[in-house]
Amino acid sequence: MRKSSNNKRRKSPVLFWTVRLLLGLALVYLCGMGMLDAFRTGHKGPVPIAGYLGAFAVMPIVLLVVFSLPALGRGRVPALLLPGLLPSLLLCARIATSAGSFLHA
Amino acid sequence: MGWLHEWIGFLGGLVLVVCFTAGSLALFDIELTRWMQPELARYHPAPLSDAALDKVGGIVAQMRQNGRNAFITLPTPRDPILRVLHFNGHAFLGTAYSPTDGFPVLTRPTDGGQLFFDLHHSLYRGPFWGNMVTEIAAIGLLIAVGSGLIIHFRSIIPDLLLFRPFASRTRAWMDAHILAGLLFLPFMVMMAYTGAVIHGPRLFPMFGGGHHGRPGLHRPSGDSRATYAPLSPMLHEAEKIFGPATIGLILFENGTVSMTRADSSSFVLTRDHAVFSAQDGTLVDVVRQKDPSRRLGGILRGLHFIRWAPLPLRWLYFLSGIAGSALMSAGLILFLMKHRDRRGSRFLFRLAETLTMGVTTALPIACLGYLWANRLFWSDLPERAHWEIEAFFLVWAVGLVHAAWRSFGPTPLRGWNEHFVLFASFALTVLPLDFLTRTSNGYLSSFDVYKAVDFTAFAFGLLALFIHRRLATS
Repeated sequence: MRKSSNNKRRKSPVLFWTVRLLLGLALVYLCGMGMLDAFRTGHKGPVPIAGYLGAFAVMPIVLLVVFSLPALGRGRVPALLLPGLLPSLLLCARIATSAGSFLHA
Repeated sequence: MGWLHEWIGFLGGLVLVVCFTAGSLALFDIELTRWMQPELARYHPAPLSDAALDKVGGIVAQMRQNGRNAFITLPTPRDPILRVLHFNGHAFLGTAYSPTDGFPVLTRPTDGGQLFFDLHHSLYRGPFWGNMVTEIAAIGLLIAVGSGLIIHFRSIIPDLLLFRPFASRTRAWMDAHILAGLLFLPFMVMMAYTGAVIHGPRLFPMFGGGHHGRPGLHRPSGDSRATYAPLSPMLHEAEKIFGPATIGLILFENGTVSMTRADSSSFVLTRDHAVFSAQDGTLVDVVRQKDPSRRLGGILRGLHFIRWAPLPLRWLYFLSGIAGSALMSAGLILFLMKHRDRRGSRFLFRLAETLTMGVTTALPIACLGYLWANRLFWSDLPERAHWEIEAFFLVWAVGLVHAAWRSFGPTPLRGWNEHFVLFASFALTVLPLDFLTRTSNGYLSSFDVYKAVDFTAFAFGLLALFIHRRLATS
């Protein structure tokens, strides 16, 4: 009992939560960029307002999801990264397309 | 989730209290500007005459030829006077003209209520960094609201019915925080969301779509003509297009005159305008925002700025904004209460208390100091508007230094009490200050914008006095 409470005290949650917050904020910004990029070109031209509407709705939700996830144990799937996967992929695809068209030109 | 709510709420709250307090005051920016120009109290509203408009058009032409990027605002029910304004980097300044004959009305130069508008959206720190910080704070508010909802989800209904102002201090603050949070939740989410979207390009500069920096004083007018064609026929033609009494702004650019719809003329803030040739006054183009995505932006601006709203709705926004400010102040105080026992003597805690006092109590004192400075500085003081702003920030800085002195001393709670006393004394004496520094006929016979400001300040003074008594007796 004594050992357990000592261990609990030693593991300061502040550092853990701070790291999670910083990573979460980076992920949030990436998601926002991904969302903006997704609406950068619509079928009738760019619709930036929709991108901003989506981005600012998604950003807080992603951070809340990040903070809802349980702590990662050794050998578990890094679920922290999952919410940002789709926007990150969109962003990467966009960068690749832009780079490709630039090289082609 | 509690940790996230606590820390995001505290760090964001320090900025958001400023945004909400200043934003609430900015809802009445025109009214505050009028209060701060007491010379207009003797002026009686009159309809705009063609001769006055044409005369003022000539004045604008000369100003623009001299390189000043001036434009005209037409009389409205909120501000029944003709104004020629230019942007000074923070606010629109200029001269008032009588709409009857176009003669200048001698008023003291002041930034008026526009100080609060600038403070609200950029903390008076410019369009890039200031906007960036308020953007991040807006997202912080959305996160804090979301996490707060998750924390209190199971007890939302009981929390709505529970307020115990005379229970223990922590319980009373917590009840006030939760109750205000739940009651004004839709308002705060809407304001944070629309505000964030409106200034979205600031946070994502790589996506463009927004201007990053205001031209300010040194923007060339781009106009070399000494005269314009008479403006009144252009105004009448524009009113035929957009409807009577819908034009609010007359803008000038590159040899054209734009008769622009007033922001108050419709819910969707689109700035539709008719473009005329400045040389001969012929209609060149009519610009209407029909693109759905742009109209969506107009709806968001309409919701956030509510320039279209009648007075009761404006008051509702004001009270909701003040409630939001009180909610966040209560949150900041709860944060301090929670950590005082264990960390009360640490430097960071004392710094947190200083900053909290700086935004919750010193800022309102500075706002009142701004009103006092406006009435006490003599009218022809050189750079008067600038000195009023300096007075505002000086009072705020003194309040912050006093907060630091008390927070880092042995009796931090006395600092709060002294701030409330100071606020109450400033606020309760706004009414006599107005009475003594304004000449007006029939002071007691009508209710106007001056008395509205006086009595609102008086009401807040009474509230501060009540809080002071509670703090003194507990």
